[in-house]
Amino acid sequence: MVGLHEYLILSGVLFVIGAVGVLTRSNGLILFMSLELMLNAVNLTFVALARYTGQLEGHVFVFLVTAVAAAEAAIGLAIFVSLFRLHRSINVDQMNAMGD
Amino acid sequence: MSYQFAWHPQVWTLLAPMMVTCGAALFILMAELFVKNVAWKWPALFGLAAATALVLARWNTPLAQAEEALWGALRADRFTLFLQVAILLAAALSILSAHSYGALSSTRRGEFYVLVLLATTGMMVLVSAGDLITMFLGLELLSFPTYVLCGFLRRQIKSNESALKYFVLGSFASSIFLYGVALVWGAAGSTRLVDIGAAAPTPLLLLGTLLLVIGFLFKVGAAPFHMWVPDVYEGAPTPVTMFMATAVKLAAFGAFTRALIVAFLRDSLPLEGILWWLACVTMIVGNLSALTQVNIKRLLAFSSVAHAGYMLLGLTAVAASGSTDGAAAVLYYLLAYTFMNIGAFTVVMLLGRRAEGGLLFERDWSGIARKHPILGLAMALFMIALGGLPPTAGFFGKYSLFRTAIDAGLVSLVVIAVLNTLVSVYYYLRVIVAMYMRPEREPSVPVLESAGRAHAFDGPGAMAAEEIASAPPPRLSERGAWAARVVVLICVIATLWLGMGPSRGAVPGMSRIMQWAEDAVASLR
Amino acid sequence: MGFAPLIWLLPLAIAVPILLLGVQRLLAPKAQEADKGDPYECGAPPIGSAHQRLPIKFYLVAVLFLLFDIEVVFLFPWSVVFGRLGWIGLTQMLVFLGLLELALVYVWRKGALEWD
Repeated sequence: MVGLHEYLILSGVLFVIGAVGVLTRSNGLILFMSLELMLNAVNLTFVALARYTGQLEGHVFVFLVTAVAAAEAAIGLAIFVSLFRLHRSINVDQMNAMGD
Repeated sequence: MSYQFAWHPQVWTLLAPMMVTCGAALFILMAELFVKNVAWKWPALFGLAAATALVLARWNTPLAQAEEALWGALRADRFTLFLQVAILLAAALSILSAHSYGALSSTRRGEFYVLVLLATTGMMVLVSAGDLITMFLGLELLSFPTYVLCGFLRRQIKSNESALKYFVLGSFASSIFLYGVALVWGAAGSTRLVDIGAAAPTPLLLLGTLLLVIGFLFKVGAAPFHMWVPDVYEGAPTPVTMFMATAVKLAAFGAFTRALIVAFLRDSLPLEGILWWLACVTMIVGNLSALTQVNIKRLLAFSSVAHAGYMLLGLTAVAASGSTDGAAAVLYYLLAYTFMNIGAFTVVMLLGRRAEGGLLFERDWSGIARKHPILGLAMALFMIALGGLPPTAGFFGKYSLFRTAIDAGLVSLVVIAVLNTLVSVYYYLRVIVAMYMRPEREPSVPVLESAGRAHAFDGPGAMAAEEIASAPPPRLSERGAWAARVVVLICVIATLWLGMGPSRGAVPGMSRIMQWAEDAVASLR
Repeated sequence: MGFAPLIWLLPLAIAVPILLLGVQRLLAPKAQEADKGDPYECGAPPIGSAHQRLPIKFYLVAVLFLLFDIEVVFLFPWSVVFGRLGWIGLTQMLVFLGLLELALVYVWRKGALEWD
C-alpha cells in the first residue's frame, strides 16, 4: 500500500534532484527545468498531505503555486531570451562579466 | 456548507494601501500605452504618498474585525504599519534618485515605475502577512518585478547577468521556502502563524522551519546564502541596487522577524544556536570579503551582508532571552540602515558619472572630494554611519543592537560583532581616504567595464559585443540631478537625526522612533 | 454499476489495432526507397537539418500562451461553486479577468502579438 510516507519521500527526492540540478547544471534551460521540478515536488507534497489529512486547503495551494510557477517561467524565459541576444549562449558558466 | 464573505468596511482600510500602489502601477502601465512623454515618476510618487497616508491613517486603530474577516491572512498591527511606512519611504527615495539616472528616467520608461510599485505592493503584503501562503505570495510579488528591474538595462551584459543570477537563486530560495511552507502546513495543519506557534513540535515541523529559515536567509542575503549578493548588486542599475539593498531587506527581515516571534521561536525548536552561528558567520564573511573589494558597489554589497549579520544578532538576542527588545532594535537598525544605504548609493550614482563605469573608488575617485566637496562630505558621513561611528544613525543602531544582545547574555557574540565593526571601519575609511587624501586623477575617459569585457569575449557573440561596445553609455542626466541631490540631503538629515540623542530624549521626537519600534514589536504578540 | 462496461471495452480496444496492423502487414505492397526515410515536411522535399534554432519569436508566443493558459486554472474551481458564491464571487472573478485583460491590452499595444 502506498501511503503518505512514500509520497513525502518521493517528493523529497524530486525536490533534491531539482536542487542538485540548479546547483550543478550549466545549461540555462536545464537549470530552469530543475527549478520547475522543485516547485512540482512541493505541489506533490501539498496534494499528498491534503489527501491524507482531508484538508482541502492543500489543493488550493497547488493552484496558487501553479500560477506562480507560470509567472516565474515567463519571467525566466524572458530573461534568458534577453541574455541570449547579447551572449549568443545561455550557458551560465560563461556569465562572468562581474567581479573586478 | 454555506460560504460567508465578511467584508467589513475595515477590510477595505486594511487593503487600501496595497490597492493604491497596485492601482497606481496598473494606471501607469495602461496610460503609458496611450500617452507619450510624461514624467511617470509623478504619478508613481503620488501613489506612494497616498498609500503612506492610508497607512498612517490606521496608526491609532487597534486590530479589529478586519483581520478576522480575512481569516488572519493579513495583519494590520503596528509592526505592519511601521514597516510599510519604511518600505514606502525607501521606494519613494529610490524613485526620486532614479530620476537622475538617465537610462531609467527617460520618459518612455514608465515600466520602471510600474515594476517598482508592484514590488512595493509585494513588500507590503509580505510584512503584513499573518499566514505562510500569503507570505509566499508577497515574497513572489516582491521578487518577480525585482528580477526584471535588475535586467532593466537590456543592452548591458552586466545588467542581464545580474537579472539571471538573481532570478535563478531567487527562485531557488522561493522553492525552498515553499517546501518549508508545505512541510510546516503538514505538521501543524494550518498555515496561520498563530496556529503554527501553538502546534506540537514534530521532526516534520522542525524540518519545515529550517527550510523556511533558509528561504528567508537567501532573501536577506545572509551567509552562507549570500553568494548572489555581490554580483547582483554590482550588475543591477544603481537605483535598483539601492532599492534591493533597502526596501527588499526591510520587507524580508520584517517578515522573518514576524515569523520567528509569532511562530517559530519556542523552546521546543532549537533555533537559538542556529541563529547564533548564522549571525556570527554572516558578520565575519561580509566584513572580511568587503576588505579586498575595489568596486564601490561590491563593497557596499558585502557591507550589506555584514549588516544582515548585525541584524541577525538582534534576532539571536530575541531567541536567547525571549524578550522582544532585540527585535525592536532590529527595526530601528533597519530604518537607520535604509537611510545610510540609500544615501551612499545615491552618491555612488552621482559620482560614478557614467552609469556603470567609474566605480573603482581607489582609481576613479581619488581626490574627488576636492571637485565635489558637498557630495564627498555626504559620502564620508554615510561611510562613517555604516561603520557605526558616532554621531550617526549607524552608531545608535549598533549600540542598541549590542546592548540588547548583552542583556540577553550573548557576550561572546557581541565581542565578535564589535571586532567585526572595527574591521568594517577600515574599509569604509578606505573610501574616505581615497576621496580626500589621494591626488586628484587626470580627467580621462573612463573605460566602460562591460565594454572592455565584451571585447575580450570572442566567439559567435563577437558581433553583438561590438554593437554593445559602440553603443553610447547611459549618461547621468544633469538636468535631473536635482532629484538625487534632494535624496542625499534627506538621507544626510535622517542619518544625523537618528544618530543624535538616543533614547535619552536629547532631541525632541527622537525617542519616539525607538518607542514606535518597541510598540511595533509588542503588537506582534 | 458504473465502470463495468468499460472493462468490456478493453479487449475490443486491444483487438482492433492489432487486427488492423496485421491486415495492413499482410496486404500492403512493400517497397524500400530512400525517400521513405526522410522526415515528412508537408510533402515538400526537406531542406537542411531538423535540429535548427527556432526564431526567438516562438519563445515570445510560448511565454504569452503559458501565462494566459495557466491563469485560467482559477476558472475551474470557481465554476464548480459558482452558484454558491453569488455576486461577490462573480465580481471577484471579473476583477481577476479584468486584470488579465489589462495585461492582454498591454501586450497587444506593445506589438508583442505582431509576427513581424
